[in-house]
Amino acid sequence: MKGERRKKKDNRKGTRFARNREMYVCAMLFIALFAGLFGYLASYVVKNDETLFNNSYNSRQRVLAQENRRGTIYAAGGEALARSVQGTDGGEIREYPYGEVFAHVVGYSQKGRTGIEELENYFLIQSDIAERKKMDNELAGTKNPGNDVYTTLDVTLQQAAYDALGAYQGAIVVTDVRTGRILAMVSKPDFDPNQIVQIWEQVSTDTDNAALVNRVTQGLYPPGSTFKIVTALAYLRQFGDQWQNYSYQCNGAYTYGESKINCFHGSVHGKVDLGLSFAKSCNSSFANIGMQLNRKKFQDTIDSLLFNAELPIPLSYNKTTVRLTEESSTEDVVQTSIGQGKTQISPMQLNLITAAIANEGVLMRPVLVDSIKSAEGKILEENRPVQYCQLMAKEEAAQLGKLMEEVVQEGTGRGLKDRAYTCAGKTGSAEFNDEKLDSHAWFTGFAPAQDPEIAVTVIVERIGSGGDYAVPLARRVFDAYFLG
Amino acid sequence: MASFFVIYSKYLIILFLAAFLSCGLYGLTFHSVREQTVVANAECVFLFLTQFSAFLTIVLRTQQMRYLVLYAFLQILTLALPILGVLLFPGLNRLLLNHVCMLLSAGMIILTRLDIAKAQKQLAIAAASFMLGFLAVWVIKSFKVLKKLGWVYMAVGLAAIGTVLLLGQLTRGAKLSFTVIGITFQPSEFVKILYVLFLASLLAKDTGILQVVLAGMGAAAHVLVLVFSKDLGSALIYFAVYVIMVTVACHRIVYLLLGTAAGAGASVVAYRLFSHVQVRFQAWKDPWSVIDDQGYQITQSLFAMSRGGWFGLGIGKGTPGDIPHVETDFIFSAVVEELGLLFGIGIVGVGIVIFLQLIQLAGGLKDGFYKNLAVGIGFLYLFQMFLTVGGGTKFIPLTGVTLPFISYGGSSVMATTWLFFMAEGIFVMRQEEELKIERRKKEKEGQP
Repeated sequence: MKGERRKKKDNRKGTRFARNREMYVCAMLFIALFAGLFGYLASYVVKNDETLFNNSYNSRQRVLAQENRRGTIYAAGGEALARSVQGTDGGEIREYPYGEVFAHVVGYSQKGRTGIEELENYFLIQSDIAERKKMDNELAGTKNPGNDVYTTLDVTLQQAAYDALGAYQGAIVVTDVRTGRILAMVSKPDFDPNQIVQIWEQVSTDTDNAALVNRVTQGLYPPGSTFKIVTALAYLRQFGDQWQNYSYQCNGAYTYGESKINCFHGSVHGKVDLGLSFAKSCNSSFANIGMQLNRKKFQDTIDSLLFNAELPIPLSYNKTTVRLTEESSTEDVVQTSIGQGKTQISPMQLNLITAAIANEGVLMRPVLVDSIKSAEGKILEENRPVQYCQLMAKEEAAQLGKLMEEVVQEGTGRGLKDRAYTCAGKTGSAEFNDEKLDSHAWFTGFAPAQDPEIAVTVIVERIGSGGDYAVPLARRVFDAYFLG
Repeated sequence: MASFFVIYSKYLIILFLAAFLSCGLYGLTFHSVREQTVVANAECVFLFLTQFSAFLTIVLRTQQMRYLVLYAFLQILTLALPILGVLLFPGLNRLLLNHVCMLLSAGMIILTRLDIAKAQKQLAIAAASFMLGFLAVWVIKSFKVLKKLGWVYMAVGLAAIGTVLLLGQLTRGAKLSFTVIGITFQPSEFVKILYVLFLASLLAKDTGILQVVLAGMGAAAHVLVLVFSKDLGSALIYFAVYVIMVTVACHRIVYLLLGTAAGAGASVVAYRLFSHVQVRFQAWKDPWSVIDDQGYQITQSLFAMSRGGWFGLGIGKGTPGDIPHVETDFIFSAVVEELGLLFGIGIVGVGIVIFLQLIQLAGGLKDGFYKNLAVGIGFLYLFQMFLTVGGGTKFIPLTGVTLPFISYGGSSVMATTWLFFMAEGIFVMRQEEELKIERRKKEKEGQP
């Protein structure tokens, strides 16, 4: 019976294919395995090129360093910020003509890599001149010129920001709000990248000064009153046009339960509306606003401004954190509303928010490198301005812009009033411990107030109020940009 | 002019290999003898062009004449092979021979660049293997008694790998080889031949469940000895070949499913039992966390491939020497680094064409033994290639088997040559039978 059935089966499928069906199935399986392998290899080669290249275990860089001379990093005006020259012993020396001024943003390439030296290492170390020239160089025993990086940095503005900070510790960052180009980025204390090998032992171990840290992107500070931009936006979103009806009687302190918070230096602001609360930076009024906000919506607004999220910036940075939930204590809500408590922000992120307000709510993707070219001028990579996202509605941006103008006209930012350009901004005095006198001075703002061009963010560590210490520094930067 | 050539030869080499491969694929589609000869001749031209461009690059770059001598030997060998082959056996499949020569040439190019002494040794062994290979052709086509020697193959094979287990030398933790009169052998490579013969013979006789179990016990004995020798890569290959040969011979897909399940189960057991399996698994899953240690080899291999990209850095321009044991386990990465991923895929493609030729051959055979043999050789070769290339590129965990013909290893080259020449024997035998049938037909027609 069984034998018969088998025979029938054989007869029915007597073709060559049927006789070898199992073999073909196995063969197809193997071919499929190889197809998978090829697909994997192809995607591997395409995707991982640059990340694997920069791994320190990869000898490729060592080999290329023998073949090529590391490329030059240029400022927007064509000034060399980092270049390789022949040393007296025939070896290659990395030279930074501006020394400390660009130390953090340009970085260094010995003792590890930072800044643009790290960011564009892949291109700097390679040479994309014609293969023919490379061969000639090899025969002649000379190195190929590496690819050059053209940054968006403006030497005048960088120098102005650097000089403005003077001996203070802190950071200044300037961006073009319409294109996202980063024009200046200064962090202090600084170091001389020309001496990095000699001073390495000292700067890398001195954690008090932490001179190697780029405070613009890696520094996390309590935002202080600059966070009132966020609280105000949350209020606008929740109450819409009714914000005009807001009114509060400030007695110099806001009491909740058994605690209270004071306005800065115990000022009493009297009857204030939203505009005046913002301009005068009235803590009591903003604590009151914070308590009126729906916590979920408040947190949504916070999240929409890139807190607790990855930032679209090319340099290594630290993520900022703010966390509010339905269960948050009154203490947390009040402290968050005025930018104290556990909230932290980096100057770069505050600058991005400011730039978006200035640019009708649109955040442009920050650009530090304009283009990369081979030594023969062939363009290898070019960064055109692109929108990163709509950070807030156009009306909301306009509304916040007006509030920030008032700060300069009537409030804590009066140091910027009556210049040849109009300015809008927000100050902050972030207390970072209980000794009330110790505070970081913040200013973030943009100019011109109508049709804005640049956003400037300043922080000066442990100095006093933002209006007294950060605003004058911002003024020097704005002056450098608008008055030359 | 010379510098120009050195720069652009890497593209030329890829182009020639692509042309060669196209011929090979085209050769799979028809059977006319005259056309086969045309394709085979075209393949030879592209083979020589590939060899010529690669070695010219090496010589121009290094300015050393000894590379020229090696090239001359390789050229003579690959030229003499088809001529000698066709003279000895008119029915020889020249395409298969060409493909084998291409694999050997690719191996010689990269080995020459890595270590010329090893390349010279490899070439000498290959030459000897080819000459002895013609003997294999003759033996396969002439001695029908080979069909009946099933248990003899097993006994000899087991004795050989058993001896290694008892007396062999340790190579990186595994007992793989022993030395006789100054020559080091790796018997598990040669036992593969006996093993395929053993299974082909047993499964040709009968495909009932009892026979499958009997063959399975023989196979299990091989696998166990290899496991005890800690040669897990070979054990895996032996196991897979058994499963596939049984599946094909018995016309039962269920054996493939059962075998795969059993293989998966055995892998889990092996993982629990052997620490070196755990190490290999870890190095595959996340080599970056152990980059200084177990992950070093595989990450260096990945670096090498990323350096090469699609077109490679050019012969002599890379640093494949960074990968430990590059000339055996990681030869593919060296190929990709200097000759490019396209070339690497092309070479694997040549291997796949060989496999397809054997499948095509097996598909047309009526005799169970020869058919099983062709199937066994084809899958054995392809599976081993998959393990090496996949393992060296982190597609699958590393098993530590070599890439036949391309990796450095005399035993591997010799054994694989003989396997392919056995397949040639089947080709010749089939050709002679077809001729016989045609002659008979003509005689019949001749008679009124």
